[in-house]
Amino acid sequence: MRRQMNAPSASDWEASALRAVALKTVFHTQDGTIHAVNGVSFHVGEGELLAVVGESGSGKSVAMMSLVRLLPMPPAAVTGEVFFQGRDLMTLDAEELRRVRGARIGFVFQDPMTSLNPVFTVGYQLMEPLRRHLGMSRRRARERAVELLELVGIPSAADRLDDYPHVFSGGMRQRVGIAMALACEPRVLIADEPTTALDVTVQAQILELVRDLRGRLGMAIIWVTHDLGVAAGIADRIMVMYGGQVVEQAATADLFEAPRHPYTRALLDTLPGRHVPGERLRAIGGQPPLMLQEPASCPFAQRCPQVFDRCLAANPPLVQAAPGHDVACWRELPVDKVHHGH
Amino acid sequence: MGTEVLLPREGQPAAVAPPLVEVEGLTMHFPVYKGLLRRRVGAVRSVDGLTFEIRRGETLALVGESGCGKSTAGRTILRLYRPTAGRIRFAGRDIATLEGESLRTLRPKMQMIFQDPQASLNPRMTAGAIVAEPLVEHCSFTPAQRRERVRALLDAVGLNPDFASRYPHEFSGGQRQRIGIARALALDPDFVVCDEPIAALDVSIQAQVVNLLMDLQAKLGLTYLFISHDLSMVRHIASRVAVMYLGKMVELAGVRELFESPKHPYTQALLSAVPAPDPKIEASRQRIILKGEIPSPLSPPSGCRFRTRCPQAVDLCARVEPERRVLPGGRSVACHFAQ
Repeated sequence: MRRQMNAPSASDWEASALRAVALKTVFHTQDGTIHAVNGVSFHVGEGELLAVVGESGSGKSVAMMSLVRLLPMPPAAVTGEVFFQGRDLMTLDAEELRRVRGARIGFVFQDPMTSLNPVFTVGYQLMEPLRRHLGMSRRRARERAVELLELVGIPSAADRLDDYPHVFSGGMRQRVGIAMALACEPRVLIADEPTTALDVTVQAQILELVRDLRGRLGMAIIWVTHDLGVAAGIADRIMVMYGGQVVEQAATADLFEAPRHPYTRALLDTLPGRHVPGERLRAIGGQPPLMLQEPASCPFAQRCPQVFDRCLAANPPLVQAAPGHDVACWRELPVDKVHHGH
Repeated sequence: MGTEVLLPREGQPAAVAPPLVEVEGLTMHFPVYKGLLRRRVGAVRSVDGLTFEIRRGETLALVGESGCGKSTAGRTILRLYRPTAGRIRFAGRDIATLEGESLRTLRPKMQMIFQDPQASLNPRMTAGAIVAEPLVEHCSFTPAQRRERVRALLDAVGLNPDFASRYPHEFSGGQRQRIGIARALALDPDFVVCDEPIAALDVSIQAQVVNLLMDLQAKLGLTYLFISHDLSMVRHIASRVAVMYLGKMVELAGVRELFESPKHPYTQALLSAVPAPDPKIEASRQRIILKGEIPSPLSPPSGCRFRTRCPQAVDLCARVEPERRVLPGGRSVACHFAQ
């Protein structure tokens, strides 16, 4: 296809907890076709925390939902390959996929009320996957549910099992959401803006919890966020998305110190902390693309301060610019490297 | 699109500027009724005894977490509610108990920009009609004069005046917020309450709107009450910052003093919780992780309202409510131990 990934090194492949190749998601709606995810390839290593950063409409959430086909199809249509524990998730049937989703890949959503069922107790909802996927007895599942609530820092956990979700506060609900996602000890945890709806002091509690859980459980985490501060604080590696594509990915320190894509640079540049107080902010002009067609040019070209004719003529592939640092920008591509991707 | 045509920003307003808005002991309780007879069983104490002033031409930020009463405070100052107690002086005149026509004639001078432009713009009115509505209500313009004024307002907020005939859904989020700003400016106000004006916008659009607000302030001499939970943006645009917790103001200081040496334990925790978009700072910083969550404003804790989560609380804090004290330099803090 159009976007070529660099040939990954052998060690990358072996260390991947999950790898997506040329993931593409299209929504067919009455008003036309939306190209939400356009050939996204990435991996998350064992025990690694990958932050996926982007604005609304960048395709970051849709890409994550596409991994385990959580989107209603139709209107969504997903293509590509998703390798997890030696199999391509795209080839699994519904029953096999359900087993993977419930047990081996955990999901945490922005609003925990969307993943918690309001008519069942928290205890019931925690125990259900344990009994179903791990075949635990009622008693064992109940014990495990208490352990899980304790693990995520819910006080007097045993007494809270019989409470319904609505009696929990927002922060506590998100802890329950994390406990549910962790119930069957997944190898990969996907968290979609899990702290966006929370206050900062509560967000700080949840981030602290995740730092602690990582150390103890060692699963791979994909953390979707629009907040560069959150990503800076918890991620090992950051992937920046724009217009349904990965425009840059690098180790966290690298990305903040030496961003290579003009969008990443502009995004960092617009932060108020990088200005003298009261000074005009260096804003990014214009609007994100509407993605009504498959992109034939760089999606950031319309807003890019460094745009030149090539950016409008072709969509730049994601290529390695430095070890462990990939970028999709014609300015970053030495001319002799280009032809081989096409 | 930028609004480069506007004037360059002037320096922060001098500390000696006279107050435009003075608030004294402002209290806003919402009664709670329960049971078959709808008896009054208590009150949500949203705002409890706020005292501060907003100087002409400055941006006073009101910060705090959800439920702390910051939005209610802003709305009460604008007299969208009738306060339970306390005084609000606007340009020297007490407006806390005004009613009817005398309140209506005051409205043009005090305006509001809302968080969600989607929800605050009537979807069945064109952008032009939305911006013209306050003019119809409060001015005796001819239709031609009104059209001219609407075009000028749209232009001033960086929208193409020819878009006046479009409906809100035809605009992006950032553009819709510009329509809300144009409407707030239509009557040439002195004072604007900005209630989370950028919270619903994407990062790359936030900066555009903040620039617009700063440009308009410099050009029109506006006074802002900037209600926000985004502390990094507050640090950028405010001259002074008031911090609220559970209906009370816990600290008020100049923006630099507040961010460089917060005095109240809550302010300290709040600032330490804001993630810094810099991995080096994030790796080395000391975080104060608060326990628990904000108690209910229906039955706030005795004494200091922050004591249930305060890492420094002692017995005294449960018994005696800390008075607001003025520290050297003019900042104030409501904590027994802060100095």
